Amino acid sequence: MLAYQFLPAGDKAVNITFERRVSSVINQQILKLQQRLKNLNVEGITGFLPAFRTLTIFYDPVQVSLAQLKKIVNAAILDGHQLAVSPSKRVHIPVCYDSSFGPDLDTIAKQSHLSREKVIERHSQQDYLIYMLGFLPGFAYLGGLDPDLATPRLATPRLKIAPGSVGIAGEQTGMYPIESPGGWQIIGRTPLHLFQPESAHPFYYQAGDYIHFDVISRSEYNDIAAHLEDYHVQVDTLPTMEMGVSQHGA
Amino acid sequence: MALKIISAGPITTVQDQGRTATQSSGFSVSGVMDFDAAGVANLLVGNDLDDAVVESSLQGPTLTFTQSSHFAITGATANLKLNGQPINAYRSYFAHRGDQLVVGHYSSGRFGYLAVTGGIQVPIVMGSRSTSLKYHLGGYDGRQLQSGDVLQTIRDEVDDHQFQQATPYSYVSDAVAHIRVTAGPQYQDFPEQYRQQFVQHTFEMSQQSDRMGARLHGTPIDTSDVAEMLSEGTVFGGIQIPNDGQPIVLLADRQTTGGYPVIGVVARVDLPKLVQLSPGQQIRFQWISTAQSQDYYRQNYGSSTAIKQVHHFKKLADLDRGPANRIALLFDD
Repeated sequence: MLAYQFLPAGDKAVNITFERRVSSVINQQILKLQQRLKNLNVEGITGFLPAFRTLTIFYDPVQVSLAQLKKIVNAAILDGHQLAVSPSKRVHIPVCYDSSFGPDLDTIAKQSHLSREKVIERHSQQDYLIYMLGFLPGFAYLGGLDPDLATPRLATPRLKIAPGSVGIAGEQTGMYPIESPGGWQIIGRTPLHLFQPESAHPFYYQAGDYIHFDVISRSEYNDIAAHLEDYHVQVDTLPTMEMGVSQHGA
Repeated sequence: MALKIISAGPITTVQDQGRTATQSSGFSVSGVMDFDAAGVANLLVGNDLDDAVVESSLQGPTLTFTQSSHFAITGATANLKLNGQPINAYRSYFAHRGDQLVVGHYSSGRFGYLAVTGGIQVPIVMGSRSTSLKYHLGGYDGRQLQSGDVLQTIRDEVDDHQFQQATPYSYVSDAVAHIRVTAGPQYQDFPEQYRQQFVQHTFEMSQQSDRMGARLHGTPIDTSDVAEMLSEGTVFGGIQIPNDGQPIVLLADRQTTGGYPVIGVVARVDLPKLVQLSPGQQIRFQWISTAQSQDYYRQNYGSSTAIKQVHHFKKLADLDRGPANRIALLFDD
């Protein structure tokens, strides 16, 4: 059973806060609660922002009071407990680990005492859970990196990291959807545009989905990049587990 | 066609109430910095509260009306001129086609607003007309306005416009600006001593403040007893305490998530005051309860009616240009 607290974040938002740890169980609970509240269409709730151990609920205090919101959330968590978790999506991101795209592959290989090939193999065999999006548009905080691949950030961050770059920082791995400065160890690049502001669906994924990196060659990279509009991102449906929750404090 | 920019000022953008739909995907909300001034400008010209407006900082635009139009200027104080004649902020005017408006430098306050009847028309990108300068998206081609830009309105000018005036929000503050704050999500992680210190000492608004955030300088708030955080969602007015102990107030262009502990959140009712404070201004925070803050919010911003009451909206009867305006409209477009 998972304990949670209501921690106001000003007069127009409240954090539903779970235990302070990175856990797929907590992540599932947060996303289940978000889904449940979305389905309820509560008047006055203006938005949600799921993170590692919090669900920030934005609301208009003129339309719904904090006390009412607490009742609704408590009930949603209790009700949600009886419900099956909706299945997760697994989004396949094609990544070219060519050395021209992955300047830090050798650093990772050296650090982990693995060959470059093994680093690529291990990095591309996991399903990474998206705990939250933040920092940049579409930047996913991924859990599940092989501990052997964990490598500290660059001592001096790069001023420019190309959009689509895939990297490692400490025990995290992730993708840069847009150009940005950054200190991540860069090991590859996807030809996909991970942020498409003009599209009806600007992002391929959301918190709670899984990311799987599919290895592609340099020529496949070029092909996809040249015909992006014809490329269909592969998305699978994954079954997920059931878990309980309880309230603690308030 | 509504107006043409002659000179825009250093940072002039189109903003509305912000891009909230994609904040869970990591996209900054943006939107107007001073929702009070922007809202009053809109109400003065008969718009909806959340219609898009022109926001400027440091200096307002000079522009020509390419179509007769009602307009209002609010926010930061400047010497406004319509065709060379001084005009007042916080009231609606009618500009004829060809009239020139000069807003000029701001003498107090940081953000000024221009609302035009019908609302500023720019494409809606991801649910909002706000400009994100950081990501070159939304607003006018994702950039700040510049000389030669032509802005349209969404709806047509009305000919039964009620001229109104309002009282400004009191930006001119005393030696120390008092800002009310509610407990932030990490309030209880700070030892009592530092929660007290936060409201007992004054802070100074630093030069490093922009649409993303306002850095404050003062006696550092020690965070060494505050447990390491996992990043979580941010809010407008959230006060982060980074490792150096100097508070950062998160504003419109803030990142959507943050990993520094948030000791407090500026009460919505005092946010317009805070965003308008100039560098060097002394600030003293005061804790209030979330419930109290929400009461103030309801009283001041609960509805258009509440805003009009707080700002003492008054109808201006029979302006001498009334008949001329109606004739001008006949010849327009």
